[in-house]
Amino acid sequence: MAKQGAIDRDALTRRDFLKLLGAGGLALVFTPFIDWGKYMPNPDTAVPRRQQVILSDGTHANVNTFPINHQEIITYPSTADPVLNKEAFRQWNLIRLPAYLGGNVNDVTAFRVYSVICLHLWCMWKYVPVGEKNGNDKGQCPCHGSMYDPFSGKAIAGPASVQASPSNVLPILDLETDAEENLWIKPPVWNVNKNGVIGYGRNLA
Amino acid sequence: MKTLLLLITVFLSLGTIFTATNLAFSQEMQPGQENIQFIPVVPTEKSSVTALIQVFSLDIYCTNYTIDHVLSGHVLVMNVKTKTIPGGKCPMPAESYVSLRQGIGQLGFGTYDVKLFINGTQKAAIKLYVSQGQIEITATGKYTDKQGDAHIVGDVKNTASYPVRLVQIDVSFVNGDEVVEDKKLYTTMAVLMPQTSSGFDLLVDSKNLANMKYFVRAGSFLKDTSKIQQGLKLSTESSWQSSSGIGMVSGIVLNAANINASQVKVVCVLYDQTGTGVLDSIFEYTNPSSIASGQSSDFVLSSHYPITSQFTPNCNAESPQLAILSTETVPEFAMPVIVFVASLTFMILFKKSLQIVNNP
Repeated sequence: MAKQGAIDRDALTRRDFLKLLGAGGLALVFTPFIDWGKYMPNPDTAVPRRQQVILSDGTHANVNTFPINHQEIITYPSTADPVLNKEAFRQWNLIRLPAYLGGNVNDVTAFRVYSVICLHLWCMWKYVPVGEKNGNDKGQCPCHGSMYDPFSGKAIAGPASVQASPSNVLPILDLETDAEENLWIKPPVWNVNKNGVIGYGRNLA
Repeated sequence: MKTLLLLITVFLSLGTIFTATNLAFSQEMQPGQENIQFIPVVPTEKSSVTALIQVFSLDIYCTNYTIDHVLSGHVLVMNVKTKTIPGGKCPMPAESYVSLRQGIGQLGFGTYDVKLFINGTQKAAIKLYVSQGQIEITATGKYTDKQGDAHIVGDVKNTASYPVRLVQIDVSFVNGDEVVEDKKLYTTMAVLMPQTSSGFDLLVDSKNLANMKYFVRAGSFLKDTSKIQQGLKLSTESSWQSSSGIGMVSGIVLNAANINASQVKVVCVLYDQTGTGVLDSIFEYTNPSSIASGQSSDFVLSSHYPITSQFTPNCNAESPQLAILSTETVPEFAMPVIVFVASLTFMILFKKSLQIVNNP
């Protein structure tokens, strides 16, 4: 029990509290001027790498077993962090084209890998193999109805199709196969004239 | 002590920057024998609310059901009373559930505790959230597409007196009481005119989320001030299932405005037999997608997966230049009936003319 009239040196005085409040306020004033971007992953400085195409069941995608006119979501670049791997900007639609677009050929030309990020409002689009009639198969984004040509990745209908180039063509990943005909993703070049920029687009060659 | 006060100071400072998020979840469907749900699942203050009650019974044909409701503050009590019909013949029921409907009308903003009593015994309890916003969540559902991916689908309606755009839908996945993940998307219609609706379709990209419970709510929207002209007349002519089970919807869109329309899009939500669950949300562009003034164009939409039960489409249409003016559903039997009546008339006239020729 403290003696009456004695000073409690551990107690926070009103002056100390105001100093802390001032310091906190000052820190918050300067917070917006900090270059937070440099603490985030920068695709320009990150070195892209070759990566296996791993399907949702954990198997390695193979030219001989992946069904024709079928799509699965894959992750690139994948990390050891499963939460980070769920980021939409790391998700890609691996599509094996329908036969009438060359999907029945057993090499990488039968496949396409496009970013799942729709170029209109950054929703996730999906390849829909209608299959009832040739020409119906396309990528569909339910947010305002953009549609993508599975062969080229170009928006063919909806709001994304009326956006100026390069924001009307989806970013793409290039594939290659190994001796067992397993699919691999080749290191991409993240600019609009090569593989494109996720969420922004790509210039068609 | 100093550290504690410093922390409090920091949290108070942060509180001035980040306003609290008011999470408002839609009702949770309770599986079981007795069940209660609402249409819309998340109403606004302007929505007309209807309760749908499912009562388990082994003697459907021998019982009278009466239903009433009592609203006291934010507690809504639904009372179902059953009375056996004396001396009635009781065939074996085809179904063991009785579906009852009760109009509740409009409700004020807030969360309501809803209790279902059957003959004085409480059988179910759920929460109903009434939104203060303008966008009601009419119904929701879930499906797995042909490629094995799960989708959360639903139908939303603009209950405001003005058009809205950029309607954002928030879907929260929960595990027990914990919200595991929130996902956002926009409705398929870009602009929602007053009292019109649009579907939405969220691709659930994670297998872990696919089997979790979810809640849907309308996030944000913008009041559309572009004064878009209304001029599209949508006629849904038929809906059927193809040989492979794919649900199909076809019809015509007429451009009744004095300007041309391009990229005319038709959005349909497919409801199940009960009218409470959404089976699919689909869209397609008319063929051709541009419609000149006074002209019309056909559309055929197909579901994302084979639908095993009967369905009812609820459709809407839009283009960047024109909004919907009217929608109608042409009865599917109309054309066969017209053909039948025309054939019958022709046969009668033909017979009469033969009689006149034979007996001049």
